[in-house]
Amino acid sequence: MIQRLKGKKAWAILTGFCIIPWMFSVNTVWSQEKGYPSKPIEAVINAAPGGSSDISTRIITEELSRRLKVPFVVINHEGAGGMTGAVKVLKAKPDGYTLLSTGSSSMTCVPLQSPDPPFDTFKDFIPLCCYGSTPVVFVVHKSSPFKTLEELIRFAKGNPGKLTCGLPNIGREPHLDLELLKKAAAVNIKVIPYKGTGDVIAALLGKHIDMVAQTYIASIPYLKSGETRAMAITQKVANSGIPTTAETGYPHVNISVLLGFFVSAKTPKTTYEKLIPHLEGVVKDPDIAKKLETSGVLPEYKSPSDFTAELKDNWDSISKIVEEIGLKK
Amino acid sequence: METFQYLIHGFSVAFRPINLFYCFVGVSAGTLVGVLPAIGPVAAVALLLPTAYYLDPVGAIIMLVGIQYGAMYGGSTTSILVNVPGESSSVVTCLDGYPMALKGRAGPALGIAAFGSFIAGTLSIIGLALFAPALGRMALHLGSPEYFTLMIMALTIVTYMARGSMIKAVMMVALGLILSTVGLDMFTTKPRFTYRLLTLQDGIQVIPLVIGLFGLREVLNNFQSPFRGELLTTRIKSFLPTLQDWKDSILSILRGGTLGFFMGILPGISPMVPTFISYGLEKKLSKHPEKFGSGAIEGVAGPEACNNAAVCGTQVPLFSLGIPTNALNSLLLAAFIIFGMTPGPQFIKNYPDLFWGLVASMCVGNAMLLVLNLPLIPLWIKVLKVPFVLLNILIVIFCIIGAYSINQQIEDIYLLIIFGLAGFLTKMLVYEPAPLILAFILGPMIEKSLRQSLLFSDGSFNVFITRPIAAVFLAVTAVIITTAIVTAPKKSAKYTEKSEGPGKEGSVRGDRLSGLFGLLFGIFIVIESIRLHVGGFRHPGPGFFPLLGAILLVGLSTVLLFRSVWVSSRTTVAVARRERERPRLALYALIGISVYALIFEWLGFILSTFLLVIFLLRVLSPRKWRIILLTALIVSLSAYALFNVLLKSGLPKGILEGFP
Repeated sequence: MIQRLKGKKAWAILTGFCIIPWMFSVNTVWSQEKGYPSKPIEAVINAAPGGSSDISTRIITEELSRRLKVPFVVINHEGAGGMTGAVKVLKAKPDGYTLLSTGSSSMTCVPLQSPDPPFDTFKDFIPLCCYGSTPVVFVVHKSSPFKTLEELIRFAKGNPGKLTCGLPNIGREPHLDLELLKKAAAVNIKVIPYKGTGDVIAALLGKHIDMVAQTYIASIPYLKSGETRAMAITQKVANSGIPTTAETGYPHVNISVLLGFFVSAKTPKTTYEKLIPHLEGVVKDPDIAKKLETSGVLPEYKSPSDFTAELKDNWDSISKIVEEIGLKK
Repeated sequence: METFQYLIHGFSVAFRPINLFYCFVGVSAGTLVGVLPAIGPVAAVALLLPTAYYLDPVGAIIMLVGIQYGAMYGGSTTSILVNVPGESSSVVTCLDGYPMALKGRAGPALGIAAFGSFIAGTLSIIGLALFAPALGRMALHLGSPEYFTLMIMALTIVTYMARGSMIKAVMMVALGLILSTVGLDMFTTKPRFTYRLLTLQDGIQVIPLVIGLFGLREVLNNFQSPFRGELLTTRIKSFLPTLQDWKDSILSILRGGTLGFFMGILPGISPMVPTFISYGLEKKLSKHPEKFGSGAIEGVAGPEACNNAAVCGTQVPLFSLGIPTNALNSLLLAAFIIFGMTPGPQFIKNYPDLFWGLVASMCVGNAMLLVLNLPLIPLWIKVLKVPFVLLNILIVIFCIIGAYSINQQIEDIYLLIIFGLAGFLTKMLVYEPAPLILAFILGPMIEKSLRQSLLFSDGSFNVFITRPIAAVFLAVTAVIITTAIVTAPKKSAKYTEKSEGPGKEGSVRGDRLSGLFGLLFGIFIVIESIRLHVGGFRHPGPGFFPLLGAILLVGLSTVLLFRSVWVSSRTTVAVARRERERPRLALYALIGISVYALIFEWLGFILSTFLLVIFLLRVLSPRKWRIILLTALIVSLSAYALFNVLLKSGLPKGILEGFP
């Protein structure tokens, strides 16, 4: 008797579980008709949790969610220099409910050096906005004899191949800026790649290398604590006292990492255009700008067309330098 | 004295009820993710980081760090009970922990792991509190040549201590080194062995490799001889270590703890590395090294003490210099930045509440973990009372979720299955996976430091001899290798001795087969490496390092092949099949899991898991349909609830899209 009851109960539960999901899926069909956005929006970050675009994305989506009155779900999909996350966004339904939040390297440097990039940056993606950037900075140890970039370049000219510059990785903005600097100043500095920011900073603090090129966001803690000294930066940072590369005489050493949001190009125009003014409002909000600044990003709103133009500029100069140093596959 | 006052202050911070609560949440969550082979502490910290944003900084950091060392406690549990490392730094614990469980000594094994972790954890917290700034600075003095020689020394020590055949162990090392080079070359960004697969660009992930080679291999093996489970359940003697156990392991705990703490300080060394060395060391120092691998308690105590101390060691460069040395600490650094704190040498001085509060909370947390874990032991042992087939099915599902949830990539499940199959085959051919895993972990570090050194020195190998620390490491390595070669003939003579049987060194036919495979695979890698561009010592190319691994593999496979051909003409050993062994069942299970991987994203987790459980239960232990269906339903839904709703693993919903 008990056995039989158990069996019946099991079947009842089983049927229940078959029906309930259907009810939910019917529900979602209804909600879609109410106009965009009416359900949670997924923001895919193509980098590891805790990185520069991670914190800033969370700051922006939190405010967006307040204004649009829909929740945002932030997901990290790291891998293949950000291409994995980008592909994930392209594979999702192009209904405006999946956004890509990325640094410009995944859209320029990485596909430019990939033998078969899985997407075309300008054809497959539509930019929604650029909310800020993080420049590249050249730093030395606090005990370094070089006080300015000029002194360092002068030494490098007299001693070709003597100086070593550590890099957090190869083929990204810091590396490209270093190569641009080497070319502009006609010097030979040995490039030593490391595995990420922590690794290269450890080598600099241990004085195994003479200088490091890295993103500003990654260098802030050590600049603030005085362990390292910045010699030049690719973009002006207010109140930092760091001279820009243009001021030191190398205006072409100017590639910074731009941070922005994209959607798949298949998304209907009427859908994604609803997001653009909201994004603009959030990024231009002084409170948000301040929050972004604490996270290390230099906040600056750029419209989709300005963003595209700057990406295209970067694309051209990066593709040239990549070819020259033999990183093109 | 000043330190003492700070510490008192720290305890007053740690004992605030709210901080006690965060500490408790952290260590409990850590234990949970440690026990589950699917989720590592990195994933858990990443998951909680956004929440931490809203908390008070001290409480949040206490919680996030709690996850780290909590996971180290939990990781041993799965290793000991089911031979699946719950966490990658608990791989070594499997080697003796599981045999102990098989002998009915799961209780003492779990107990000594908890006590060992507590003792080593507490001692290293004292180390962190007293010496953090000085030690952090010292670690920075090691440059690439020192790292290279240190890694080579570690690899040599561990290989030397390996069970069974030395040749086979080194073959596994070579294979591990080759596998570690898959992905973009960090010096040139050139793809190596990726074959146009996006997933492979970042290399093979540790999780599918470890849980495939250990977890899936064990499960497949259990499926083919499903009666081993009785061993586990029938003879459980005591729950706590005896006085003799304590005598055997107290020194191991202290040694393991010291080793772990100091190696943890060095940037870039995963806590897994010192656990291997600790195991090797204990085996070398033991009066009965032959007991290792069949349930020596020192083999559990040393490495488990070690991984806890190592976690504490990694905090030294983080707090004293602001340098994160692993993924977990990068997340902590991100947390500091979120809270507007500046990491660096002034950190401890500027934020005494945080640092001393954290140090004190780690003491409190360790005590909590001990109190939490000891009563749990009898409960954990009950896990073994779960019907054996069902337990193994659950492990399969956990392994798959673990592989998938790293990046929500189906390819990682395929890799897991491939490594599971490889592990199963190597088990039949009597190869140990541990040297492969260590070589895989060390491979990128060895390659990086070797190529950096050569770049610095313009291709000269003198740097390894002229720098004193590097020279010392190299000398130790040379001594170990010489000893190994001198004692080698004795070892290989045992090849066909009757008492060894098929268990220890493998059959002649198997050796011939695997030797041939190793030779062919090695030659293939040699050709591929040359195609990748080897370069010279001055500018080593992307193919340089894989070529070294391949040459090692080719050389040793040839030796193995010759030896097996030559020896077989003299004696042959009949391989006695284990009774009641049914390899066909393992094959069915493997097919089932492969089909599962194929339908996983399309049908979604719940439906495909439901079907897999039905299939496996039907094949492995046929029962009434009603029971099978009910079990499958409960398993798939509760796994979904645990991993997707609670831990947010991002499992696919498939055609059930819209389900909450």
